[in-house]
Amino acid sequence: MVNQGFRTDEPDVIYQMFDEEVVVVDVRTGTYHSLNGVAGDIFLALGSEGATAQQVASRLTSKYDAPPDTIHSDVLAFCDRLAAESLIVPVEVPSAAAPEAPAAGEPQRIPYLAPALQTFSDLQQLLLLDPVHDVSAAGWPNLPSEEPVTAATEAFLCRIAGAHVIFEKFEDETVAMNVASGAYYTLYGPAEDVFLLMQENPTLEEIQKALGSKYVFDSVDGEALVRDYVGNLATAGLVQLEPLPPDASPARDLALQRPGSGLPFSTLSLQVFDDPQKLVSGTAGEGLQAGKRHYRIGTADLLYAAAGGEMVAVDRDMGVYYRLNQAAADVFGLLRKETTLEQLTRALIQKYEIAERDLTAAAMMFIWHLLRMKLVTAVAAEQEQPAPALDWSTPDKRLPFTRFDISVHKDLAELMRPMNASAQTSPEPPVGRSAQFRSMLHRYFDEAAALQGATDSCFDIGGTKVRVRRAGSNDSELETACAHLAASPSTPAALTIHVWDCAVPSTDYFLTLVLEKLHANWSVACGARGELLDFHSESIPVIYHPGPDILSVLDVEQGQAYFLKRDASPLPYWEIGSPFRYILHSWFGARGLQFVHGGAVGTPQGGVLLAGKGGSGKSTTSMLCVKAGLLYAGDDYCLVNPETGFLFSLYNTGKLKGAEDLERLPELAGHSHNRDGFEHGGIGKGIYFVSDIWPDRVISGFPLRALLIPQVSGERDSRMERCSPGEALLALVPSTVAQLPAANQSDCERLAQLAEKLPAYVLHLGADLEQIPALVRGLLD
Amino acid sequence: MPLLEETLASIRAQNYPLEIAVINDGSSDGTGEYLRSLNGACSHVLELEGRGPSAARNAGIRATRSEYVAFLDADDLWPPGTLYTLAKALSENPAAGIAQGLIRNFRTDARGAKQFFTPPYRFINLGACLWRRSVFDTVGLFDEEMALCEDLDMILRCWEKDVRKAEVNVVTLHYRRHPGNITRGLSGAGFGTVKAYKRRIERIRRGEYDPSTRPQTDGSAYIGVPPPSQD
Repeated sequence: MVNQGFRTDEPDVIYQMFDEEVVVVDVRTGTYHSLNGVAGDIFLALGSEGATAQQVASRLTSKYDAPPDTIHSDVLAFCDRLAAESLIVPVEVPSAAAPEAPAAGEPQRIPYLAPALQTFSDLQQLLLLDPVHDVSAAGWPNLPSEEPVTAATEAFLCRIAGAHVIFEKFEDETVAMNVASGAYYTLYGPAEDVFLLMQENPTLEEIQKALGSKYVFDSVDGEALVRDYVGNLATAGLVQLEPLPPDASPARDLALQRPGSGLPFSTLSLQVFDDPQKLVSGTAGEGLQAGKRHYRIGTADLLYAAAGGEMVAVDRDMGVYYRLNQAAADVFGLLRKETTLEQLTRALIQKYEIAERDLTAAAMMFIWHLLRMKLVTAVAAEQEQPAPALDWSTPDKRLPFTRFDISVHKDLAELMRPMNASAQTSPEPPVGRSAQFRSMLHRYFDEAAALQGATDSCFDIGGTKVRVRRAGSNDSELETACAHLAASPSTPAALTIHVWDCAVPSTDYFLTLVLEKLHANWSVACGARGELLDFHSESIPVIYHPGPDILSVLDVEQGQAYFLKRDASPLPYWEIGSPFRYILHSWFGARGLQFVHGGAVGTPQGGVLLAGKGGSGKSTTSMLCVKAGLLYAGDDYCLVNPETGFLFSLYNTGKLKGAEDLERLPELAGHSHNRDGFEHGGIGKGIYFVSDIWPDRVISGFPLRALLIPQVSGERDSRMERCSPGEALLALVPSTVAQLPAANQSDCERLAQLAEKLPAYVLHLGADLEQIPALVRGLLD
Repeated sequence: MPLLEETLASIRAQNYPLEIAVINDGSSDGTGEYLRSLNGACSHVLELEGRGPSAARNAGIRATRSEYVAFLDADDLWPPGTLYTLAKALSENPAAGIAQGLIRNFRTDARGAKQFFTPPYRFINLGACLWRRSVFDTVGLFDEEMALCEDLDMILRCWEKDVRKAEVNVVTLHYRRHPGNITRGLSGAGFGTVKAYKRRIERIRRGEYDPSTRPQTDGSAYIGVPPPSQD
């Protein structure tokens, strides 16, 4: 048999017993209460398990000196009072055996004072003092008011209706969602202004006052419109209205989140979003069950790398990259295949410790965000696809959930954006055509060599022998960048790079003509990243670089490469400093070595890789370290074996931006090689070869000990700070793949392997640059 | 002592003239030996016998003389420039008694790398603040009977006495969260919150201030908002 009783409303009500009173705090409202001795005993006797008034009364009767009837009726009345304050809630309790009746006149009974409750509401504005609770941005729900308040009530207070309302302010509008109903809303203009004010719990008067600061109400009845609109918000379950306390403070001046002034006041309307994607049905009630839509990553050229529970995704077509936390990366992983919201939630709930409803809400908002960013597209699917395979094993214990987080980075847009934005996509050319083109180039090179003579130089790069055959021109500046890797020419080379130009036409004019036509029509002939559409293939990349007019061709299988320039004009400084990049990237990629955008310094026992986008301080850091006696393996590009963590030097080039760099590195003055550099009156960086200046300080490679990410800090001292593999990915992946036309998913996987393997540090470059080499050395020791 | 070591390093990295008082409140993990091994690198090393955070903070206040006082728990970190930023805010705002910045919660992953998991937020945490010593003359020292939530109690007292805050929008505390944080895993009552309310009831009853006329600043603005993402 059960009886009606009450229990304390934990965990929303917290309490503590003191000598003479019990203090009870309602963390939902911030109201707190002092209960006197008898009142406290009643509250404690109810407890979190619950008890009937009868049970409580008999306990008290044994303690206090008062007639049982008085006590019983006091208990009943006081329980009503506590329930009205929402401190206790009704509960059914099993009836226990009647407690022993107290022996009459027991001496230990103490004087009885009627139960009393003193209520303090002066801290109601601090609705958040219990950090044990999950506090949502929307604030605590509050007590239901006695009298219903409507938008027609003379004065009222509004607040966000509760945790079921989620919203996010975007650049151009706010999207609000009622998770309970599944409906969502787009808000802009004054409607958005008012909605965002709700976070301040404004009064009707304060809303009007705030709107008045931005809008001009000519002949419009502002108050009526605001009342209507707030009423709509309340009906939609987004906002709730409360009576204005009689002792309310005077109206505050609330600032609008999008300020302005003198704008004409139009109208206030709440629009259920007319959803072209039908993210959810939009019909209240159907809500979360709806959405048999499928979503998938909508970008074709998306490269991604994951390490340390984070992901970096690069969309080179859009010139953006993204950093995602674990939960967001999981969503990305799932959305590689068509997936419904429900399937997505079901997969994630196995991994994360979160209520399904909250997860669905968060996933809805995240997908909405991805749809807006055009990262994801929605497809109407007639039949349900099989649930996507998880690419994680379900953990024994679910992980704590942190909200989906994606950040968008556009700082490399210039570097990343397709050089040929109007490129046509075209199918790969017929099998054999690339190879034909390749052998034609070979024939033309042989002809040029026969006519103008040829020179050979050999290099030991990345553990393999690379021969550079040059026809014609005696200018061997391209080879200087690799001079420190020079090897004996007697051994056979795995890769031969043929270098020549068409300045001196060969016997037949055909190749020169092809290059002339390419020069004039490259935007038609080339794909987005310079691949020559008629001849380029996966196995034989044919890449045209329109600026310096260079065609780079590689046949991995044959070990033959061609670096052909249209005319004899001088090469720009970056080609002199780091020649054959496209060829070496693809060649070594096929052998499991990763071309990395980064510098490297160290000792034969070990060194560091300096990663980060251009201008972050890689060159300066590398050069200062060499000046201080460390060995140099590169300042811009290196090769890394991600399996072993061994770094191979490619170029012994160093670059300085301008004369102020020479002040720090006076040893370099007068040594720059390029005519377009600042030392020769040009506007480009100065190219220096370290083997010219410190011939004993270049090294062909070393095992990597750490990844350093230089960042100019503005502080006085330089210092190093450990960072996550996610930071390492962010420094390595986007800037490397941005510069290499043939970069693909394998590059990302090798870079991720490296980020996972190497401990990473942010190197904060302070004003005192002299400290940097010591810091690097300290890390290596 | 890897955590304390890191904490002390974050204090020294402030490059700010400092009087450092380290209070070892009866730890049994070798902290005492470690502190002695520092050989006077700290101005004061005080040994208490487990009297709780309030007593430890008060001991630090009494042991030092500097005009500004800041508290840093043994496992939290000050980002570089914290003291400079906060001291500048206090000196530029003579009416302010407390300068306060933002907090970010972090934990370290298996590799020892810091992972931040909250956005910067402003809430009760003594470590994110710099105090003018005179504030303690106005509102009194920390309540040594409060084992927890002594910070909430102190902030409420400052608020009631209209001690002004100079707020800076710079992260001034990296707040470490790990299974050992004493504020985790306790129920609301054990957490000490209620006791802070009780103290307030007593102050109202004693007539120390009248909640209907004071304080002049909005309480939630004064105290701040806890971070949206919980650990």
